[in-house]
Amino acid sequence: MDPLWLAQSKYRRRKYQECVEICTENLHRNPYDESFWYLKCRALTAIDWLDDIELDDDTLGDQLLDENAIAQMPRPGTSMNRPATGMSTAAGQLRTRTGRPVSSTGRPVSGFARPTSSALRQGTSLERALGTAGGRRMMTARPVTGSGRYVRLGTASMLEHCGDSFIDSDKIDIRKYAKKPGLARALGDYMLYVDHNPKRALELCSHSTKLTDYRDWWWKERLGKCYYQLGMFRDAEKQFLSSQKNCCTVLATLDLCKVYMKMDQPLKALEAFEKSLEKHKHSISLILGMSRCHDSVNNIEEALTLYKQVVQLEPSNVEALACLANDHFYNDQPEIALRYYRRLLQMGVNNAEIWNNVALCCFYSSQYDMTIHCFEKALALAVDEGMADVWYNVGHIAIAIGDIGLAYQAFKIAVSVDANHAESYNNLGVLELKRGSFEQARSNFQVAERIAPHLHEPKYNSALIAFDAGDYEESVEMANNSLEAFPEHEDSKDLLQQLDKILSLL
Amino acid sequence: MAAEASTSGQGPGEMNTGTTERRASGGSDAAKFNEQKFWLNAFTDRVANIYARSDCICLCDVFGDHDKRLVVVDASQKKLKLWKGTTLEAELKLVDNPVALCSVYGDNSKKRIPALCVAAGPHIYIYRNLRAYYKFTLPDLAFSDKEKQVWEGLAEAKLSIEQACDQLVVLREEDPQGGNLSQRSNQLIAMSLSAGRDDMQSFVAKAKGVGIHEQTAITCICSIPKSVEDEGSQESLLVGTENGKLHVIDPVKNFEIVHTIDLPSAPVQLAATGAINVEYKVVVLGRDAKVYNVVDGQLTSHVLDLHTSPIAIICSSKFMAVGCMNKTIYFYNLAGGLVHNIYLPDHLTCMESFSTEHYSNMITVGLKNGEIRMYNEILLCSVIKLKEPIRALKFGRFGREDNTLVVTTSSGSLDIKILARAAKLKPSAATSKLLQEQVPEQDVPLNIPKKTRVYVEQTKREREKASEMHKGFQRDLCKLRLSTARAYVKSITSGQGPIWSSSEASIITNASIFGLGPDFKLEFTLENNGMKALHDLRATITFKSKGIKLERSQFNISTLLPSVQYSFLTNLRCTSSVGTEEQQLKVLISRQESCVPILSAIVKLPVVDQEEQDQEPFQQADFGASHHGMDSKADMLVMG
Repeated sequence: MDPLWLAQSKYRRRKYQECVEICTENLHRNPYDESFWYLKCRALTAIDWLDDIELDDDTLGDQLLDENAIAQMPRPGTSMNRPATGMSTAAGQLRTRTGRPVSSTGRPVSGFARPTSSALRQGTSLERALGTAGGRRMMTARPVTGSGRYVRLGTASMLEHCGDSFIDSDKIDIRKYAKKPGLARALGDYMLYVDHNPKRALELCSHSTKLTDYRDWWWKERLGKCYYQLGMFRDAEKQFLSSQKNCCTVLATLDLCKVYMKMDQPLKALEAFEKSLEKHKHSISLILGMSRCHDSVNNIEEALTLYKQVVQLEPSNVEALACLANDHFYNDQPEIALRYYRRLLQMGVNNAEIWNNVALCCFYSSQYDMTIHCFEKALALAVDEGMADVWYNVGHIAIAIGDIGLAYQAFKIAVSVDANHAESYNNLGVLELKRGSFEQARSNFQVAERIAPHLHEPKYNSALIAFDAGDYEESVEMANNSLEAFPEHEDSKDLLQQLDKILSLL
Repeated sequence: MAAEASTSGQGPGEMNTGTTERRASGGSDAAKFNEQKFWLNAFTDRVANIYARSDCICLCDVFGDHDKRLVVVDASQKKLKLWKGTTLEAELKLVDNPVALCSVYGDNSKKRIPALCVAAGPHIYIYRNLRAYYKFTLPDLAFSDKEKQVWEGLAEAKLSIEQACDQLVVLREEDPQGGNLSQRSNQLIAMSLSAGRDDMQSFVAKAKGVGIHEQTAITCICSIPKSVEDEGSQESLLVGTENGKLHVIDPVKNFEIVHTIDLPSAPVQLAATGAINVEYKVVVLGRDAKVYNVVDGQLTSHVLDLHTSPIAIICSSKFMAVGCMNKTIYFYNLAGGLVHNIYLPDHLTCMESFSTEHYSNMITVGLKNGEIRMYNEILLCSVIKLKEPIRALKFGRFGREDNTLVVTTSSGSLDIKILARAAKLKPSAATSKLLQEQVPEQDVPLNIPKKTRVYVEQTKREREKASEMHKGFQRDLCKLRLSTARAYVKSITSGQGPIWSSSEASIITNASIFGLGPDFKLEFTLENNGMKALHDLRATITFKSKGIKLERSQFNISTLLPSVQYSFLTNLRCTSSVGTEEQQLKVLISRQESCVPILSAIVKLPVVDQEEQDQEPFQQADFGASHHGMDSKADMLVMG
């Protein structure tokens, strides 16, 4: 049997490792066999292929050493750093985040864990960013720099195939390869995805673009990717735009919007999405990208209509379903949310989070017989952080049925599983207060506040405690802090007004 | 002079009636009013350097030439300043810190020249034609004969110092308010409690043969017409003092005190209506947040208790308005009943009444946010917005312009505004419309979602299978309680968790890591929130990887005092053999008598960027591009 044909067949059947082995053997015999070289290159790339569209976690170093200065005080709704706080719905009423839990960036949770949902936003202090215990909720500590992460990914994949480096990208003659378009493309991908050497890849891409008279969209897109990996967003933007001009592809649009989001220009990203949507009307990734964009500036209404559109196009889209379910739950329609979650379960998504959500939906739509059963399943499936959240919700159920002892135990367990579970600390504080142990309650609120400065509840509770103790000055300070975390919090406003009255009295 | 710098190029006495007031303003109602051209900006001096409250500003015809000047006494600089038009005409040095300023038409001579009265300490300095003219001093305070006798006895050595002190204490206790003794006696009593005998003897020796002369201080002054309420007619002076007296002083009779009224509290501000010889009423704002009325020289029994600190008072023939610290202006009718109140957007700093030929009973209020609001009784007519908090307002005739408003702000700048003659200071139609359009709160519908079909079905199921559901729920609940209790017991016995509490103490721990690597600093804090100190604790730091090198991994903690935060630091280094896996460090705190830790804190080590040579397998899961997990949060419990 022809070894080349066999290798091709293995490649097509995604048996990349076997394909690589055949190619290596043949290349050993004849190192200049381009067809085997090409196939091996492709196979190795396929092994290490990463969907880098989704991978846009802001790393610590990128944030602290960000040289792309942006407006410090953007208008509300134009930047992710300053999302619009409330938006008018069709009924003309203001919809705010009241009653909806928030992520550490101060945005309502979206119902779907995305890479960025744990990212620190700008404006956080250096000390806070450098310390680890300061309320980092994602269980992975963040890598220090973006390029470092790619390198680490690179070394990790190297380890897997035993350090056998196939192409030494620093030594090969790029000009020679650039003249062979087929080989060059394979080599470009290899450099980007396997070797993680964006500098050399950039050289290759620019040579190839030059040779194709600056008309090839593929090379331009790869050029943009290289610039992006090197952190040169403006240049990346230019390349993606020019690539789009040659041939409007979904991928280039997604890449372009990733750059815009990185530069904190969600409105521009939306524009790019819309432009591309005219050509690719039913592209789910484009619509999803758009709705994420809306989510990031707190424009929940818009995002929801887009999620609905996605579900119509692809009824089994997990992200859209989860977000819709989440929204229905927090808009007092747990029975509808339950439907969505059931659908997710039927699709085979089986994890602790989903069982937990089903349990909550069951409880709030008063289908009590199912509730605890689902929690048990969630607990059985849960690991680490998810476990703390499940126990936290068990605590909520216990409070709702009036079993304070059970609630206390559940929150205690949540805290022991995840020492940084601020919400549990807050609720423990409230329970302690009900028991009458004032000092314990206060220390609990303090811990919650230290772990999660974005939560307004512990601050408000501290203010209330200080108010009851007659420490009005402290109370005013805490109430103001609470309003800083959540400017529309009515209770804090009420408390401040009450304090104002007392302080202005003789 | 700073003030002269910005006033060049304008003839004296002429006002620049140039630009209309058009500044951006905060509130929507404010913006609306600003569009109307009520107030003309006559003169602004940002560096006028005036630090004076409304009491210390006066518009007065100082030289009797019918050209009214602006007179300001500044307590911070001890100066009297005089503006004519836009120029600073004169500046006088004052002997003492001025408290209040007022102009009085004293004599009956043909040329009407008012006297400027500057109150400072126990004196009133009177200026005429801007020359020092007379100095009025409050009479000495009267003290009881018994006290005098004590001091005489001391002087003649009939009494020992201790006996004198005892007698003085007895005297002091006769008056429940304790304000009847002289300063000297009070000081002696105080010394008897703390100072040595020698000090007291020298103090007594100094006082020998010197009579007790003490004066009180003036808190406020105000002028009141004698018989006719006309410009330039004879006036009397009302003086309030620190010891709660209100004197009526006649400037004609060599500034003699004609009449004295006792008040229950020290007066802060006076507002007078009527005429001394006909009938008059003085409203006195007391320091005890009460408003006293003096009618025809008698203190009436009618007292208004405000419950909050008053800032300014205005009295007109129709009503009385009191601005208070709770951002409210209260309106009382003449009988003393509360009629209205106005809630202001910010704290008020000063208040001034004014009336023009078209409008009477207007009030203007200066606010801390820089707004000047004009009210026609309770209806808002006009708003001016300045950039700084307002310090003082004065309305009156300035130069030849009748309706002038003098404004000073907290940075000491001076603004002079003229009311346009054609201005209609009526509450605009928009305001009254706004008042009508306000929908009562209970009529706004709540945002309740629609009742869905699924919901109806579910309730139906609930109705039909109620007992089964209940039984199932109870059974599951029992199971849950058991498993929770098990997990709870496990967590407390194994010391997992950063809070530990027992009957006598409770400790909280928190660990954090600082640095970018490979060198880190590990810090953990311990805080005892209990009532008793804890002794003999041990902290141990544990970790799995061999690549981590800790400077110290054991801490012996001898004492943990309550409410003190103890922090412990150690350096740690990651060598290359740590690998790409994320590392966990555990800080375990245990007591001496037991080997089971009582509490623990977990901290994660960030992954270090460095060249790895180690062959440890890499875990892809850490960097999963998008792991499809739902966020799982129920709503939070907030105490209400």
